[in-house]
Amino acid sequence: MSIVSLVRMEDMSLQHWIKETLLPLQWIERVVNVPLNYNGDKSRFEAEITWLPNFLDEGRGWVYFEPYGSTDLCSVVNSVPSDEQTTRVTVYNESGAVIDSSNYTINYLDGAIIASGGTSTPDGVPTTVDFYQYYVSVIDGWPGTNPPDSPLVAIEMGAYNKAPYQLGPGRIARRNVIIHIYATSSSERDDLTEFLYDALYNRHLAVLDYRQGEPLNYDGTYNTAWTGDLLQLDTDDDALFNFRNVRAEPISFRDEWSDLNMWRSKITFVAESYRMGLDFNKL
Amino acid sequence: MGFKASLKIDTSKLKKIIKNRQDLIKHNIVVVVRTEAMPHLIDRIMDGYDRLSDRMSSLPDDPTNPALWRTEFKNKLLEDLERNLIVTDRGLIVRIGDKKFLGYTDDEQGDTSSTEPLTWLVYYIEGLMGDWAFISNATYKDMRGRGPTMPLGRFGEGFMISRSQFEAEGWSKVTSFEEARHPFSGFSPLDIFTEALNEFRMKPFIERAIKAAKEGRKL
Repeated sequence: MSIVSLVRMEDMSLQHWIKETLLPLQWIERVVNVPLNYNGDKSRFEAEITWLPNFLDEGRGWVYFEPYGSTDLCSVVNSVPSDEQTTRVTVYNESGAVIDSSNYTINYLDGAIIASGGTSTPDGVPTTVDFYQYYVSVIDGWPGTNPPDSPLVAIEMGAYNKAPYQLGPGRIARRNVIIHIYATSSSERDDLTEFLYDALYNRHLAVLDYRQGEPLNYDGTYNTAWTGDLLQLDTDDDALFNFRNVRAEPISFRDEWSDLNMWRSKITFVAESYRMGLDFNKL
Repeated sequence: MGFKASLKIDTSKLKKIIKNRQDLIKHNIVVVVRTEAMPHLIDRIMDGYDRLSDRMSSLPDDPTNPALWRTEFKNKLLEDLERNLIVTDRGLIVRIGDKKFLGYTDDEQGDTSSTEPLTWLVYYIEGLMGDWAFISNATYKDMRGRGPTMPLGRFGEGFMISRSQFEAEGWSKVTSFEEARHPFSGFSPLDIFTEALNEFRMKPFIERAIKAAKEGRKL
């Protein structure tokens, strides 16, 4: 069994924080009255694609938490929900009545409804669905040759170093992070860049404990074991990720290029964490 | 027991000595920065540049290969150094590698139509997401029956096209995407400037300049 390291928790916390806390403040879309089609091979009702960008893209999907935290971008979120959303997704039967959420399971990554009775539920056959989808795709690392449609945010943790911190066995790790931003227009690029910059500037992030899994299972369903607990280090300290030297830079490629590379920017910063003890990654 | 002594100081002479020593330190620093520190930094940038070129080893004669304009690129940095080394009473300002000549146009004044090879570098330094083909003038002629009639933008001797556009416009009739695929497709950024700056230390150069001045040596 591999050992889960602090840096992995930090990386995951950054990705989840941007996707689950920040972007829902301004960058999600409500899509209503979307037809559901039964897929016999997968035994589920699948939502039609009626809205672009496509929620099936990597890094998108449906929103699975209720709104939480302050809408003020300047506040630091020190807790995240442990419970699945109850108002973000609504499923209707053939007569337009709401199907009780206890009668189905949601695959948030594929945009699909798994009915309790297979092809039906006690409240009727799932026929249409309203949902919130992520407008911005959040990707772990450089997306390479098969990126999802813009807008997208690719988060890359790069070079790092560690150094002594104060007298004693304390150490500080400085990790260089790049956020690549790809937008659909110059104005969207500027908005998204400014939004993320302000969220990072002079801020820190509370690292969460993902050792029992992430909010979503690999199959896109909600992980009921998810607790949203903050990570407690073996020294009983909270694990914090502090952001320094935040810098944003537009990269204006010319118009002979596709939309994908045309409206770009990047945000670079150093994420610092402090540890006592010699084993930096011991949890 | 006590005694008295009188001390006579020639302040104007002392001021002159200090001024001369200050001037010597300043002179030595400028010389060291110009002749040693900045060339050293440029060499480090060129190390990164060579790593960019290594990525193009599969297409040595391709017009988009940065290896073909290595000398031009280095000369541009050296030109910048000559032009942008500014000495003031308060310090020394050096600007090299102004990104505009590399095709960054983060203001509205940038050149939008340059076909200078160096303006392509922005794509290599910042990474090129997606799958891309390079359409040369010859391929263009095969497809259209004539050469291009309009400027081909940055690449001059051809242009880049995404895989979906390649298929949609029917370029596969004259060449396969795999044959035309540009080796930088999907490559991640390689910031040759930041990496060089991160490794660069100015302090040893300044210390050398001051040491020489202390010894009364003019560099």
